[in-house]
Parts: sequence; structure tokens; C-alpha cells
Amino acid sequence: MTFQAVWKRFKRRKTSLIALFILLFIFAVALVGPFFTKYEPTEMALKNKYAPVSLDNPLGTDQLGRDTLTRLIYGSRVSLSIAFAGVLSGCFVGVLLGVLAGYFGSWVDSLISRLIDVLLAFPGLLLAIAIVAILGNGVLNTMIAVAIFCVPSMARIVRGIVISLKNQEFVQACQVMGASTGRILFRHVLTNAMSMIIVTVTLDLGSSILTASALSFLGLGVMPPNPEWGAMLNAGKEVMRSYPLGVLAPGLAITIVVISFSLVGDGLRDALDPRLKNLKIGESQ
Amino acid sequence: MKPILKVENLTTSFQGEEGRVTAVRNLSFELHKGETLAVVGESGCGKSVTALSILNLIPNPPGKIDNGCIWFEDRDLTRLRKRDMRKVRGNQIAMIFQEPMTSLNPVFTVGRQVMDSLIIHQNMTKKKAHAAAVSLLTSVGIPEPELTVDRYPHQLSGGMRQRAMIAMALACRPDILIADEPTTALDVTIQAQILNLLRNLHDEMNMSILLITHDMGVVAQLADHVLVMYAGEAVEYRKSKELFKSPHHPYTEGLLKSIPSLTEDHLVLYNIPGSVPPIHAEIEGCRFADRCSYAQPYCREHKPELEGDRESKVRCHFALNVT
Repeated sequence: MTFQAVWKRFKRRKTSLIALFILLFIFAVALVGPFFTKYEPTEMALKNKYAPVSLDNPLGTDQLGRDTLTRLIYGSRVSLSIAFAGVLSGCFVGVLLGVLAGYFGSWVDSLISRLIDVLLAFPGLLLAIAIVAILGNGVLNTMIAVAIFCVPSMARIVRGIVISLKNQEFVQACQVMGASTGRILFRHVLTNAMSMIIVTVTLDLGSSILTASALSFLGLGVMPPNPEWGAMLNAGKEVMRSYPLGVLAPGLAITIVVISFSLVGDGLRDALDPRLKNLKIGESQ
Repeated sequence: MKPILKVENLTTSFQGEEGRVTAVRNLSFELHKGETLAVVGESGCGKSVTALSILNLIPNPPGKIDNGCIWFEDRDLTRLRKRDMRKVRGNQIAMIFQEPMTSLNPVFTVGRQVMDSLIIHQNMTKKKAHAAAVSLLTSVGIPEPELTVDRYPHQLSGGMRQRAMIAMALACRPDILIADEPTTALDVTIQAQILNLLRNLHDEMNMSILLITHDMGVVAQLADHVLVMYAGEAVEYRKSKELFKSPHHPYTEGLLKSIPSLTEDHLVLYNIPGSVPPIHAEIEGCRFADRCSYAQPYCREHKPELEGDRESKVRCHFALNVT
């Protein structure tokens, strides 16, 4: 399936399209926003604490006089990079394990599947908390927690797809053609699983932003004074009554990003899944 | 003349739930250069297992080649290292499948799949392979090859896909083409086209074809020699023309009688009573005795051997039409 065909189908779902634009906007802000802010994210101005919304401080300032918009923009960098780095590395490991388990079967499969079962047996957040408790705080360790969080579900999905694909005739046709196992696995089997992998990665990105924020909110992830959405929520909740924007702003940011990732993921699933042929006659499948 | 492929005493078995079952028993045959050998028999006679054994692609476990040698270019394919075997597959021995709908990878263009074996085996650059793919598609009679090369399998019809499969198989000009029921999934007019194509390519490239089929019509059109298999064993090996004229084995006779005839007026189509014995059944005498209308008590106690000369062999105590 070509990119154009997928895009054409993706466009049909307006909610997903809007969500995609919101995400792109947020990525752009995270990328270039810090060049335009007037303040530093940790710059305190105690004289100016709890400032109301104004031109100087579009979202006001918190109890230490730090500009909330600035912190929100810097925080998006932290949250998004944790999510992307964590999910991509976690999913990479997950795909690898899933492919190995699915293709080779027998004891390889048993070993990997039991490992996945153990990881899946923990509630996700509890697992993340346990990992951070072992590794300690910090951005890098939060990424690792998010990565481990993503491994089991991805491995299981890929394993299932590979099992259903490996007995298809075209895989046998590749063997007959003299292709090596690695070539068959990574060129022929994995490309067929790609659409499911992309969808899962997108959905995982949303949930891992939530996980990373939750960890920071609990004081286990990114530490203050570093701006991170979950940490901002935690700091803001103390003074919620006098300065509601301190929790509203990061809370809404988290909500919007997570919902957008889910909607884009749903849209991608519909656009990439060839079985959902809600197509008009005359169009290619 | 030295055969290009020589199968000696091939025995392939699978681990089933009730012990090992033998799918191919002690099979021997020769394939000569430029010859088309048809392997015929009912479903479950071990035809496809034979093909996969030659390519050393029996899934292991549960399957295993227990015994026998497969000689190709003075090498025993059953004892070849994996890497060397990969160089044989697709390059010197290629195979086409029954189901053109599922044997192409849906996410790659037809051209890329044809190019694949050229890139693997001949280290061709992408550009050269692309040009080669176009000319291959032309040679298998695909219209608009320059456009089709960039199309995906789902954009092609069944017959076109089978042509693309053939193009893939022939990319490296193999010495042997194994065709596993190449026309079964196609409708009759397309069948005729594909058979024609195979015959033309065969004449052009002078390759040997191992044709696996249960369709006697296909055999009559293409094959020089016929190997009839029953329950994992060879029961008759003859020249194609002679086999149709005067079958020696009762099973072959049954197969030929089962072809509907246009000229004779039968109300009911002939069929061979019963079905192939389960492959795990251990039978002392002739494996076909239970379904054979000529069977004698002697047949059930004594196992017949495949006997005869190089051009004509039969496994029957009371072979028919033998003077």
C-alpha cells in the first residue's frame, strides 16, 4: 500500500485529521517554542508570584513566580522526548522478541512468552513505579521505565502476527527462492506486520505520556525544578485554589496530547488495515 | 545420458500424534535434462512432500528425511549445508505453487519480488534487476510489463499472478522447475494459457520440469514421462504416451477411467472405490489391494516391488496389458 493511498483514507476521518494537526502543532511548539520564550523555565520572580493572566505571562505565574507558559513549552520537550525515546526503544525490543518468539516457536517462544506473561501480570503503572524504584529518579530512568512498559504488549502483538504470517505461502515461496531466514523475517514478514506496529506505537505514545506524567506526579520520575507536565501538576496541586491555572494548564496539555495520539492511532488503524474495506467500487483495495 | 536429478530411496516421515507417519516411502526416480516428468496421484500420496524434500524444505520438526539421497550436479541435496542449499534454491531449482493468490507477498510490488531472486543469487544492481524484471514479465506474457512491474499483487488477476510467479521462478534460469499443481486454482481458459506458457518456456530454456498434478489432462499436454504415486510409493513409471494407451497398474487404470469422456455415454462417472489408506497404516501386502478390482489373496500377503526396465516400471503382481 502506498503512502498516498493511506493518506487518502486517513483524511476521511476528520477527528483523526484534526488530532494529527494538533499533534504536529505541539511538536512544532516543543521544537522551536523555547527560542521565543521571554523567560527561563526555572527563572524565579518571587515578587511576581501568582500573577494573573497578562500579556507578559499569558498563563500567569506559579507560587515561585515562574512563567507557566514557558514551563509548559519546556515541559512538552521533556514529556515528548521521554515518550518517543521510551516507546521507540521499548517497541524495538518488543518487535524483536515478538518476531523471534513467533517465527522460531518451541522453547524460544515458551521462554519469551513466559517473560511477557510475567511483565503483563503487573498493572502497567505499578510496573513502572517498581522499575523507577529500582533504578532511581531522573529523565533517563523514566524513559527506561516507559520502554519496559511498552515491551510486553508489543511483543505479544508481533508474535501473533508473525505466527499467522509464517505459514502463508508467500513465506514458503521466499524460502524456495533461496532467501535467508533473516531476509524472510525482516523483509517479508515484518513489512506485513508494519501497519499493526505503527498503530501500536502511536497508541503506546499516548499512554506512555500518561505514565511518564503519572510517575513525575508521584515524585518518582522527573524531579523539580525541571519542567515536566506531571511534575508541574504535582507542584500546582498545593496551590490549586489560589492559582488554578497551575494544574489546569499542564493537565489540559496532557489530556489533549493523549487524546490526540489515541485518535491518530485509531485513524491509522482504519487507514492501514486492508480488512476494513469500506471502499467505494472502482477503487483499489 | 546422466540424469540431472536422481532421487534414490527417498523416505520422508512426519512426527504425528500417534507416532511417526511415513509420507514418502523408498521413492526413486530420475529426471533428465529437458524432460518433463509428471508426478500424479490422489491427494495425500506424497507428491508435494516429494517436491519439498528435493528442496530440503520439509519443516523439521515434525518432518524429516529419514533415508535416501537426492543427487543434483554430483551433490547430495539432503546432505548439503544450509548456505549451499540456499544457493541451489531459486537459482538452480525453482518452484511454483498452486495458489497464486497467496504465494506473492502483498506488500511488495510484483517487480520487486521478481527482482529479489536476481539480487540474491546474481548480485545484480537494482537498476539492472528492474530491467531484467520487465523483460521477464514480457516473456511470461504479461501485458504492459513496464506498468505491471510496479503494481501490487492485489491489482493483478489470478492468471496474471501465476504468470508473475512463473517469472519469479524463472528469473535465474533454473535447471529444474518444480510446478506444484500450477493450474489447479485457475479457471479452464487460464489453465490452457498457463500450460501453453510453460511448454513454450520449457522448449525455449531447455529446462527440466517436475510437474506435480492430479489432473490427467495436464499430464497429457505436458509430460514426457509419468510417475504414478500411491500412498507414498511409486506404483508406475512410464512414458506418457504409453501410459495413456495401456496402463500397467490397476491404480493408473482407475485414474484414467475417472476422466470424464466426451465420446462415451456414461451416466455415472467412474471412481476408484474407497480412499487412500491412512499413511500410518502398516500394510503387509500391496497397499492398493483393498481398492483393487483385480486383487487376489496373494496380493494381500506379498508386497510387490517396483519392477521393469528403465523406461517402464510397475509395482504390481498382476500388471495389466503386459504381453
